[in-house]
Amino acid sequence: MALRSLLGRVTMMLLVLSFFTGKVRADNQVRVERTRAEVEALIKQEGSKPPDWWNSVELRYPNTLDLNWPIRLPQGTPWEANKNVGQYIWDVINPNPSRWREGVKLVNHLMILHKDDPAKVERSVGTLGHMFHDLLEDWARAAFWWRKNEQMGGFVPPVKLAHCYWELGSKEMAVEVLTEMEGYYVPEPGEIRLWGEMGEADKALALAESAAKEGWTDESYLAAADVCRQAGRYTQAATYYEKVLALPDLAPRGHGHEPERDRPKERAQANLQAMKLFDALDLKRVPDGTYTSDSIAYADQLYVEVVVRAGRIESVKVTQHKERQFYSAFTDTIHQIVSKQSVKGIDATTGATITSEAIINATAKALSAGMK
Amino acid sequence: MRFDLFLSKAKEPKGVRRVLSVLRPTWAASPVRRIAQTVCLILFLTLFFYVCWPYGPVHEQGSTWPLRHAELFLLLDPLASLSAALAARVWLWSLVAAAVVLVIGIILPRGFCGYVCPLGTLIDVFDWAVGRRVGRFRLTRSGWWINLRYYILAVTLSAAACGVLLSGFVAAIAVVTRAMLFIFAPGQMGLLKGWYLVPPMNAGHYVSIVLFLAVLGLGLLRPRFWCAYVCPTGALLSLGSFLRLTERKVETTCVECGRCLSVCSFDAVGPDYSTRPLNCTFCQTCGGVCPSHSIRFAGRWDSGSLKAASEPAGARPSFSRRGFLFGAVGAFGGGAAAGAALARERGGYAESFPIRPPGSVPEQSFRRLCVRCGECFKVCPNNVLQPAGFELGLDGLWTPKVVPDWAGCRVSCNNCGQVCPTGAIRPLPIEEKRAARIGLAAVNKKTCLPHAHREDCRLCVDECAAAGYNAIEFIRVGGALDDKGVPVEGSGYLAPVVLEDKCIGCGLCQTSCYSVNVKGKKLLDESAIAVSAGPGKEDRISSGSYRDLRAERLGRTKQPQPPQPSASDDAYLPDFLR
Repeated sequence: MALRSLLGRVTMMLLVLSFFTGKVRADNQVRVERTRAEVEALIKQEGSKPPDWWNSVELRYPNTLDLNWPIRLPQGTPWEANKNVGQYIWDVINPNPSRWREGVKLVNHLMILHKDDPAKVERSVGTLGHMFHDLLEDWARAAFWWRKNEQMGGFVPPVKLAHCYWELGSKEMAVEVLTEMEGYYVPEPGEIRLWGEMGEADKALALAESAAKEGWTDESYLAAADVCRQAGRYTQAATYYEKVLALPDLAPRGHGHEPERDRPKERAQANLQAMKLFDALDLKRVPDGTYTSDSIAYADQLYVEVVVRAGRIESVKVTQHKERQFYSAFTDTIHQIVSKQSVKGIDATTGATITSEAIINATAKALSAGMK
Repeated sequence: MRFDLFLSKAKEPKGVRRVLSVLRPTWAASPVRRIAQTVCLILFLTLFFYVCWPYGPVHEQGSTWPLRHAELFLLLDPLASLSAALAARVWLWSLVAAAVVLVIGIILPRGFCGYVCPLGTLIDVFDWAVGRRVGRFRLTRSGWWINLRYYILAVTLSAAACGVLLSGFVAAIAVVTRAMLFIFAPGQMGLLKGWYLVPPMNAGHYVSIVLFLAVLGLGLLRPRFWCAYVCPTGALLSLGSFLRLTERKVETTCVECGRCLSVCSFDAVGPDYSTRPLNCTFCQTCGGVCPSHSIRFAGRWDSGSLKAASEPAGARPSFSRRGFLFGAVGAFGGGAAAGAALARERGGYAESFPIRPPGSVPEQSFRRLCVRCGECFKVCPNNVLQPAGFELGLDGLWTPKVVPDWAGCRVSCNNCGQVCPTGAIRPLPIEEKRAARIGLAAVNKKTCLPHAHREDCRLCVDECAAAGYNAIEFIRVGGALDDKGVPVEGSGYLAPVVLEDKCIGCGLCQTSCYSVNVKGKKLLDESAIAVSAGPGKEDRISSGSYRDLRAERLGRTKQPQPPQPSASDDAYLPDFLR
């Protein structure tokens, strides 16, 4: 009996060890650097051949779908997700990760179907770029299709293209795209965060300030605070959160049927509170046990369950949430917390900053409440 | 040839006898029998409480003591197999076990009752603990009941011939298994896992418990009153005793002390100390208490110096053969009438479709095969399966139904089919079980929180994805459009949609909606996603593969698609874009 439990423990430890060593890639610490030529070659090579899942996924769509996919629906066309391709992608493909690949095949199919209509081809090519980036996180193919789209005269979202380059390993190319667009648009939160992620916190903060001057105060300051947190500048982050809290109350922005809530303020408040806990947190003072807490995430409260044993964070589990995508934050952030044994210095997961922060905040709250 | 198993009063060693008599005189008289009873009872309880404990070490280790051994005693109950096979008109492998018991009965007449039956042993324990201390109900005479068990057997078998299975009410092992289930299993669950996991009781529970208490209570009239006069399984074995090769013999040395008469709990010793062979269970206690060594157990035709000829089979001075014949015919007729009545009653409930366990045979066969033993409830983790009360009619009493509000069917569990003794639930490999549809979930769009534009909720979708079925996905509802008619990012709700070709009706979605939205947050009156069964929603087949059935169904419902561009590389990057 004793032998069995000992064996079980050893196996468990080996499993845990292999988990830690095998997934170092999950955080951005071991990012692969590539030269411009290497990235170019990668995009050309990967982008022009189908992804490995291509032949195993069936082309599937409802019979009622209108494959003509007109460029512009006539005024007053009713919303019919099973008829209009754009609405079908929006309502059925995007919300379901299990349908993302078949969605790509559908758009690819429509691109070939309408090969004699340049406008439709261009739209399909651009949509492929979006799907590979937003849904599948296939950076090489996203860049490939967006570049095709650019050649055809289509519009390519520069921040997202820059993000592809960064993920592919070339900061140089990403910076080039971002610099080129500067001055044309008000800096968006994604752009601010990307600069921060690339290690250019000062650049990011400067952009945030200029966006704030244009009136986009709350979202820009939140992004600035995130950048500061990631750079370890906790005091500065706190001042940005306080700036958000000091703003006048938010005017309704008409987010459909969502109940009106001042989300930026709620998030600033939650982050500020959690950060105050960070320094006081002493794991050695947390007795063994399971602790739960929550924090505001993208959609609503997110609940975590933290297990502490012998002064160590043994596991963190998201028990309840309403996030709308299967963000990698769930595995990535948790893995970072457990391997660093801390809630400080955790890199937010790209594209899932808010979810990531909510997990960190809730974990900090849970542990603090358990401290003796 | 002698078959003496008792410990003779005169023979050495006396010490053993003295030690055993500390336990009880019956232990000293016939220790082999008492030891066999004890072993069988312990085995029965172990199988029921340990092997059938769905959270125990057996299930973690997998193969050490397979779950199917749990049905051992039910297989040994010859009436359960015989009546189920007769009712469903199918061959059951458990009939082999029944035949083995009956064949053993040729050498050890009714040995099952004396040595094996856990219900009989429990009745002995009851007599030791209670019965012998309460004298006021004790019977002093015989009466109309002496042949009752044959009538009950006749009713059960003729009802079975009419397609209605009554053995669940009266077959010994079914009665005792269900009693364990309803009286002691909740305690096991409550003490080991938590009382909140014990499902509420319904009328079916109470009827079963009262029935078991009545069986025990009969022991106040006489020890083993149930076994000697009422039990139809015993009656079946009694009939088997017509072919017996051995029997109890009384020799001329008998001093007529009356000890054998008083020690026999089966009414197998006549007033003249002769044997009633159809009652005798070969327990041989009488042999062990006989002071003059006048009792022996020997070959049927071994006629040594016998005291008196045995009574004619089954007969009593006061009960004529004609009376017995009338009784039996009446019972057969009564059984047939009851069967017909229940079959008609069943028609009245044809429109309600209970959700049956995965692998259940078609409903009509199911009701004819299910002996209502309750083994499936015991092995079901979290009590997804619960006994029906009277909502399915008398004929549906104690049959298993899935209660998805309480719990959903676990992906990795196929326990119920493993323990079902009659094949009412087929023993499915786990991959087959995952393809067997027990029902179909449907979202109530009026109440479902996102569909009703109340709030975001993804419980059912997450539950289904975690189970690996991926049968519920999202659709965006109530999205807002901006001035150009472009949907606003983040607007509206993601609401669940059931994919009918993937849902197998496990009910996990309903459990989570019910426990969180109904019980926890009190946002809803009933679960907004609910599983229902019925034609087209469930797979009820007696043989064949559920995976094949599924493949066939998917092939049939597949939408015709326009010709696809060939699945080659140029489909991804066509030449005109190169």
